[in-house]
Amino acid sequence: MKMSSIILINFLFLWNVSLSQQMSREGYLKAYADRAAYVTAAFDTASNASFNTIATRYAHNSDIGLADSMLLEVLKDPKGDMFWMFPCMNAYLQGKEKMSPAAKSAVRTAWKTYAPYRGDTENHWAMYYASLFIAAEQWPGLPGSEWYNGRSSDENRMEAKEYIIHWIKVTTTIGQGEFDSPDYFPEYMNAMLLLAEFAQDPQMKQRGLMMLDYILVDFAAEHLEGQYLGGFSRIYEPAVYKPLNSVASAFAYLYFGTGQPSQTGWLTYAALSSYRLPQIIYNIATDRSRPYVERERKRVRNVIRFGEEKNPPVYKYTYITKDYGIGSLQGGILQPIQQHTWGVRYTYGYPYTTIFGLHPYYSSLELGMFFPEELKPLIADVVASKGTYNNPDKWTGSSPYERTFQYLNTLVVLYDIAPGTSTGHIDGFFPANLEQRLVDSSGWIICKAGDTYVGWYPLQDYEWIAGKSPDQKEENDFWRLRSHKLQNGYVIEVRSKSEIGSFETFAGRLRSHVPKGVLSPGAVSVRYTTLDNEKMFFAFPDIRKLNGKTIDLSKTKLFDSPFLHAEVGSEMLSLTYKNLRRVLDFKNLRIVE
Amino acid sequence: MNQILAYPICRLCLVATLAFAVRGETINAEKAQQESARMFAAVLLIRGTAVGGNIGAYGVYVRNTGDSNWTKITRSNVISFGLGLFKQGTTRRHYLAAGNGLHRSTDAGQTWRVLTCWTTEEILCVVPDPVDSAMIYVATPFGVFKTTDDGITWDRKMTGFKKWFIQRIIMDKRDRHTLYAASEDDIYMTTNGGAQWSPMRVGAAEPLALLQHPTKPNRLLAGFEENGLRYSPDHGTTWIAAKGLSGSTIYTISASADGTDLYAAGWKTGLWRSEDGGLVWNHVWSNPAFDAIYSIFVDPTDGQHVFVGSVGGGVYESHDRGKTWRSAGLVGGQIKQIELYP
Repeated sequence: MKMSSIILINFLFLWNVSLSQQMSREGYLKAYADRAAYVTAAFDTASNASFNTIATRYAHNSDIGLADSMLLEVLKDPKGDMFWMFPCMNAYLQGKEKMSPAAKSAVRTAWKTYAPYRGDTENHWAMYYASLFIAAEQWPGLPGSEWYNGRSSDENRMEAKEYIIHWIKVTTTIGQGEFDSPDYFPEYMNAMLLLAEFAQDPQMKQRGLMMLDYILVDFAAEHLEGQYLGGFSRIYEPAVYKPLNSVASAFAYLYFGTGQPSQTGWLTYAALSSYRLPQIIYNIATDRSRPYVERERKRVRNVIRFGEEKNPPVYKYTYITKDYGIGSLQGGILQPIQQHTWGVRYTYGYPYTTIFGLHPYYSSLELGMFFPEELKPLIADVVASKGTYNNPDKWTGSSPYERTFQYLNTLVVLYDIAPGTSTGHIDGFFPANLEQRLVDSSGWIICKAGDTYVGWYPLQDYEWIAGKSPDQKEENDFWRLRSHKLQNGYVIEVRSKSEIGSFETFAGRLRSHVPKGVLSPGAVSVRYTTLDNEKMFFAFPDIRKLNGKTIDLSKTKLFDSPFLHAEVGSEMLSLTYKNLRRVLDFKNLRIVE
Repeated sequence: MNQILAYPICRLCLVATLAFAVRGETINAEKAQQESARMFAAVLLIRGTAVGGNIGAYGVYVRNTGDSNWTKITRSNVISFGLGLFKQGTTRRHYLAAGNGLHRSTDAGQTWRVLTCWTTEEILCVVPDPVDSAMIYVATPFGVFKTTDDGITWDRKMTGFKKWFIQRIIMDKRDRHTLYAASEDDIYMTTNGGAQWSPMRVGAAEPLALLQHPTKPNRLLAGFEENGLRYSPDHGTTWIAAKGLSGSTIYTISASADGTDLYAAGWKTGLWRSEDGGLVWNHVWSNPAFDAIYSIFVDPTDGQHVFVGSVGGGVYESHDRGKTWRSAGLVGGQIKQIELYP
């Protein structure tokens, strides 16, 4: 039996244990070490020349000569821009004291001759500048002629440092722009792991360590059994409907011991790192003994035109239980292309553990808000890499005609779509593996997913369309609810068995709670009394009232939940779990426990 | 886009410089002068291939006139928006406005240095001051920036603007402290090197292309997103909708050196020409192989010799003032600007 298989079996055991109870610190660290070993086992013996294999071989002293030759091979034709920079630096620093002079020289030459592009997204810049900072520290005192961009070591180091400090300040005062992205989570993690592990500047090392805590606890507070919960800035298909497919879930496996075992190369940086998750973050990630609300404030990606503000606020609201989480953003265009405005995710029925809806909108105007190129060719340009962007059947994306109002486990979503808009319908995603998907005479669609029950009340006529994800060969794996009315909406109620009892009780309660909608162009609203008798009134786009009282989203804090607290502008995040407390104080660059 | 045209171009002497630099060949000055002129094109490939991919095709390319083989002179994947040239005596500085900053080469493209840092983000257009090599203006999605110390520091120059997205800047031919900037809501003018900008009240939003007439500098032209062309005969005091191209999206306007022919093009317009200095426009040529034209270049020594840079179809060239055309290479590229590499 291969070593990796043995480790996997060990792991599956530990994984099951971790699901059932929280561990002591010693137990956690032992289990973490086993998981990290499982991750790197795939690279210890791999024969393909990749930076992950090379880094792992150097770190584990596994045939250094082979690692050297692999390194020379991969440096022959560098590609990948910032996706090349950080693996290259990681491999170099894992092996710097062991590699041959020729290998060392090849790395230096690559940083002189290969000019990686800086990119244009927040994750690109995090990777680019973290890698550049580390590289500039490694080769100090060199003139611009020794660097790909013509700038000296000092210039590169200072610019990278300035940007990273700026990014951290923005993140800890008004929130991340590329926030809570299950698919771009590893880019930030690995950039900060590089700083935390290898920065020589003690302040930059501390910044890296503190941001690792920050990014991980941001995930931990909206985590359920390996899944990221809530609205997201960016997610790809199929991960949007197969939640554990996101790379963030692989990190959940490594750090939280949840989800499914993974040996993705994205994890090697963490698995080789000396960083260990603080116990309090592990506890926050795994204790679902009581339902809670997590409110967060993020920011819109930099708006370059067609806006009045560079970074308008994003308001997040997520309700989390041991069985499910339902979360939402307030709606509108907050991120181009891959926004996930709302969703229910639960623990039943892997891999399709979610129900959500959207208006599959696309436009060059949306893209022009964030990209500087000429508007008309932009859609074709974007479709070249994000193929689903202009697909009316897509499952990701924002819409200016969509708004939400959530209170606890009840969500109202309204649409007032202008005539002539690129897509004139709204869609809902329902997995085919639901135990029940009943269309009740009351109008409610009532679903059972194990111990989680979901009610969906459409405000307009709709149809069901059988759907298949691209890798599905035979039967459909989901049902698409499609409604073609431009003034539209729905109410979502979610309860678990432990909250409401039987599925029949849930269904019965729904029947006596029917929303009343007004659906005229320019006048779309709904009144609804929740299963807990809370009176919600929502008028598109932004009038939200709960029991007659107006909800003011602008008062939303950066983090606000039983576990996390941060004021806007504070540069400080407080973590609380029972008698544990940890404060990330970015202003003074210290961690207080 | 056409700021380089604002200054006389001495073609032959710089051909030699470039020949040495790009090919690394030993070419004597005499031979160099016999070579035909080189073209200089900034190519932006589609965004979808830009980051983290394996395509290294975007950047700046040069070629000999009449040759369809282009040589890339930038180093690697550089999303390229525009070009600039500083020329004084024997000094030549080439600038590339690019996604990852402003690049400068002082050795005709052999080496490049990035002059801007993270604060200026993407550089959409560059205008070097023609007298002071340390003074440079750039247009960015977050405003106009200016350096007076050769890129060591950059100041944001946005007093007077209502919006921050600046697509294009051109410098007045008569006064280097007067510049025009295409912002989101209007065209703005400064007469003091960017310290203060004032709206020109053009009457249309989203200007994309700007041109100062080469021989009648009071004449200004602007192209807009879905608003055609506007023309001012009196240095911006009044603006008139040009005849032809109404409602079109115009990406580029260019002129022959003597101002006889003006050309304009944009999204699904094909190429148009004005023979009366910019008021009346007539369709010259279209090619179903591409939807849009991003750039036009008229050879300053031969007004019959016209180039267009398309979106996806590469470069096209005409020797008869647009009657007949041939593909001139870089097929697949989005050609943001074409200039003579002097």
